[in-house]
Amino acid sequence: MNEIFHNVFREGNKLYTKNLVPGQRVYGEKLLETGRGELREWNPNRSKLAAVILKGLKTFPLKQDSKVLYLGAAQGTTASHVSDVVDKGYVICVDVSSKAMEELIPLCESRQNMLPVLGDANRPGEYAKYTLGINMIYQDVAQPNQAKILLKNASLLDPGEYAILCIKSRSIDVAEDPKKIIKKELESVSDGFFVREVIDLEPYHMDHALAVCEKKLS
Amino acid sequence: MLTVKNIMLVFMDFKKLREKAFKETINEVRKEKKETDNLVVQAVEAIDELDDITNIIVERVKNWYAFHYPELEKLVKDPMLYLLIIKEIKSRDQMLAEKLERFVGPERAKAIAEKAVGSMGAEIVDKDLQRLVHLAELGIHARQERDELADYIEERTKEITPNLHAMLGGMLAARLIARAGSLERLAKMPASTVQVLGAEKALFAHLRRGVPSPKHGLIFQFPQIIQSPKKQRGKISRALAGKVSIAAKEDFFGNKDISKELIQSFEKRVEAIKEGASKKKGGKHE
Repeated sequence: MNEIFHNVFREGNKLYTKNLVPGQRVYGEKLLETGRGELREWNPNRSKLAAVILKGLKTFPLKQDSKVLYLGAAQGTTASHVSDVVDKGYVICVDVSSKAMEELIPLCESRQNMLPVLGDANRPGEYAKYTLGINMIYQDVAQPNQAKILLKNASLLDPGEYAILCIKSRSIDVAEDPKKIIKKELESVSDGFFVREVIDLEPYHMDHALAVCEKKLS
Repeated sequence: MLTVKNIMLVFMDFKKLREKAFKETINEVRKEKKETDNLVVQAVEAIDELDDITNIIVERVKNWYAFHYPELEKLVKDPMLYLLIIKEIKSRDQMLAEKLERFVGPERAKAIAEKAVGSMGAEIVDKDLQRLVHLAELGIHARQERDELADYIEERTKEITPNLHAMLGGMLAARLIARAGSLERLAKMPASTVQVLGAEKALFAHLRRGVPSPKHGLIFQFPQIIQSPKKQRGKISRALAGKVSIAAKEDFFGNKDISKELIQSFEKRVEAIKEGASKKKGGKHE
């Protein structure tokens, strides 16, 4: 078992994060007792971030003390693993759906470094009071204007800080070729970011890609 | 730069911030749950499920009762009447014309009673019959609840969306809201989306594979669309979707009753469509 990033462990094709709340299962994942504490299996079919790590992501901007703005947290599957990784920082979880909040709020209650916000990523002003001090953005929203949403939130980052953008091509246009859509989205993102790494999520997720972006000097 | 990145400072703030976030977020979720159109969405979905449940129960009771009196299924086609007769009269030897009369009228009552005497079904003991009768009662209850839900939806949509209700009737209005997710979402949709709401499968087939676009989704249930010739349905549903979209917008953002004007101008448009169609036909002869 290798620790490939802080609190992220890999063994063969399986990925784990060190459980911030020992004994807690978030979505029915396996727990593993090791010499380094309790590990939580990170399912690449459920989480896009896990999928790209298994596919060999090199730039991993999540650090022990990262302060992450997580846009589109949904039920908190990936967000909980992010909170495992940033055990000295925190995760601000934003989602529009009040249905998702029913599960996200109890999850955030049990994890000291998570904070739930009901808000629309299209309007960063609505949740601005919570985002002071963040230094990383993770975005996974099912909206047709994904690149624009990231640019709208970009002012929260300093130059040189990172954003991870999940591109769901099926949410942008069902008919267009996914590769074309991803290319187009990356072009518009490059207005504010250097795109450092792009990885498609096959075979774990169809028609998805994940891009690691670094904020440009503005 | 505004961002404060002193770890200690931010961490101390974070606890307070977190408490505040919980309070506010829970409040906002609660506020959203209060929106009454959610209730209508739940009720519409409950109706569809109750319909399924009733059908399943009717099938089971028919199969089960056929041991005892197989001929009854052919004699009583209406499923609710079938359940009611079993519930009230129970066993075959009680199927007497005078008892049956209040359900089916004298002639059929006589036929049912006559067939009961020579039935090829087996005898059934009370213990077995009782279970089956209870199941029939459950089916009747499910149907009654469904009808009450329909009344409730009718009443509730009249309060929540008076304009939509006046145009489409409660049930169809509620179905549109349910499909859109909420009245707010329906109000913010363009008319072209409202037109094909409920025909998502056909719409995506159109976008992906280029088959002809769907003419209508849920609003197909509107009488004036069903009753029109196929060629005009597309035009009429486009006109209706436009008016429905205006009605939804008024219901969500405003509070005026504009249903009369909407219905009038829709009917004018339908007339024009029908006239246009007959003119074209006439044109050929000239």
